[in-house]
Amino acid sequence: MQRYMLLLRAERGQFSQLSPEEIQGILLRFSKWREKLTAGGHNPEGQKLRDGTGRQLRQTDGKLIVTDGPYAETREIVGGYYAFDAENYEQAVELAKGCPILPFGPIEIREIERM
Amino acid sequence: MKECDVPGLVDHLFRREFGRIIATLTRIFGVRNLALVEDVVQEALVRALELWPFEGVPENPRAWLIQVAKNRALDRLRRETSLAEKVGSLKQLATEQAPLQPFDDDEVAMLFLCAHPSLAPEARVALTLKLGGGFGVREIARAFLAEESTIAQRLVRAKRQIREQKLNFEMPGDGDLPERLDSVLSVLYLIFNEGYGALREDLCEEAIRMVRLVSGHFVTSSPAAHAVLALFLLQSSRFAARLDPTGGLLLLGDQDRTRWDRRRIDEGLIWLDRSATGPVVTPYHLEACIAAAHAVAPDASSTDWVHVIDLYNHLYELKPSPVVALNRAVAVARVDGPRAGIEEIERIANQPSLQRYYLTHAALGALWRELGDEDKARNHFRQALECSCSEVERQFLEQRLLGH
Repeated sequence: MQRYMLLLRAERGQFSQLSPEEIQGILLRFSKWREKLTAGGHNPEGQKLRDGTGRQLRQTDGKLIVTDGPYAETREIVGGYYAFDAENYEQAVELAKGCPILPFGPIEIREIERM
Repeated sequence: MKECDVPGLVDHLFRREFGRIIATLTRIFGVRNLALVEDVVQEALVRALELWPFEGVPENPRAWLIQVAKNRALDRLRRETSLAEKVGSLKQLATEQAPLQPFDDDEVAMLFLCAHPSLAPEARVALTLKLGGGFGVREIARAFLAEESTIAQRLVRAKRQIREQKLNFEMPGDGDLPERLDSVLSVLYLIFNEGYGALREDLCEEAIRMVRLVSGHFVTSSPAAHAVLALFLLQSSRFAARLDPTGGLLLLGDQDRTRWDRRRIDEGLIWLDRSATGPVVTPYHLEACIAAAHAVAPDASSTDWVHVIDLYNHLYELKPSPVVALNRAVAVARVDGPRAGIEEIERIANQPSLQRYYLTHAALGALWRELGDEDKARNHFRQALECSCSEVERQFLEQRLLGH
């Protein structure tokens, strides 16, 4: 088993046009998706990242520069991440396909490397 | 539709809470802040969508949504409003119980606001579905076969009117209660009928939920409201039986009556009983009585059609609409035979609204078929197909045209 990280990107503001029933529908699909991952022994966990501007640290010529970023104007932001176990990328992709956020933004999958 | 059972996420929770929280916050912040209130409630739902997938559904989702909406409203008010207004609203909010609980009172007051007689009738329906029922613009447009932009504009205009005319958010006084209640009931009636015709159970159930609120409220509980509730319950008892296994439409006479919802019928009959107090008979009373006559008949042939004709006669006196006359003619055909029914329909069929109504031609087609005149029958089913109707209705008519 490998562990994979899903970075969920979404465009800002696109949920504001959804109706209450549509919002509830997406939440229900999320619960189902998580349940399926748990039931399949994939040990899912996830966290929401706070909206707004974060900080970027960069060291150039021994000098540390701290800047705000990514900027709030950026169209797509990483809204949160998930991690789960899967056999390989193929299975990870298959499992990620069920993520209900998919219609709203791309998902990046990266395998977490272990020694 | 039950997608799955997530603890706390009961069916339509978000739609229900949208209406309830908007009603309560509108009472607190005033109708002048309606736009702000609508925004913050939407923001609370979006917030849930952003957080719950990661954090899970909170133990008490309703309380969570209310709290978030309330906090957002306070933030916005602190930023946006004048000091005087701020002090008033904040003081009022401070006296609210925490956590804020919505009251049926607020929801009924919201129905009165949305159905205010000074708003255009189409706007009343859209507004009631949006603010009272928590339906989205897209969902309302789909139900009324209208463009999304049309519905959106209608809502914007209505809200502007509410603001400009300074309509208030409270139960009507004794003087204008009858007129105002009448307006609310006719909006709910339109919503139910639209849902029933379009096979949209969600609209019908929402109309039933709202008329229950009105029927159960001490100010608005009245024979007319009870009659509307009875009518909705009796009509909706047939929902499951209206379609055959392939999704085709079934007429009253062809439905499997064991699939009618007995509990709904019993409840409808109880409300019909309760509606029979006081001197006033409304069209709702008569329509509920007609629905009851069908509901209690074991099959189509044992229906008390003479009684039904009588009820239609009475209904026509109160509501002389061509559609009532058409329905009456169909009942006449059951008592005096198909030829008598055809004669009745032909007497009224030249009315423009009936000429364009698919059921006029469908009824004529069926009656001619009963008389064995296939040419005339097919001709009428073809005419019916030229009228506007839903996809299910079109399939139904095509089956009839083929002789089924």
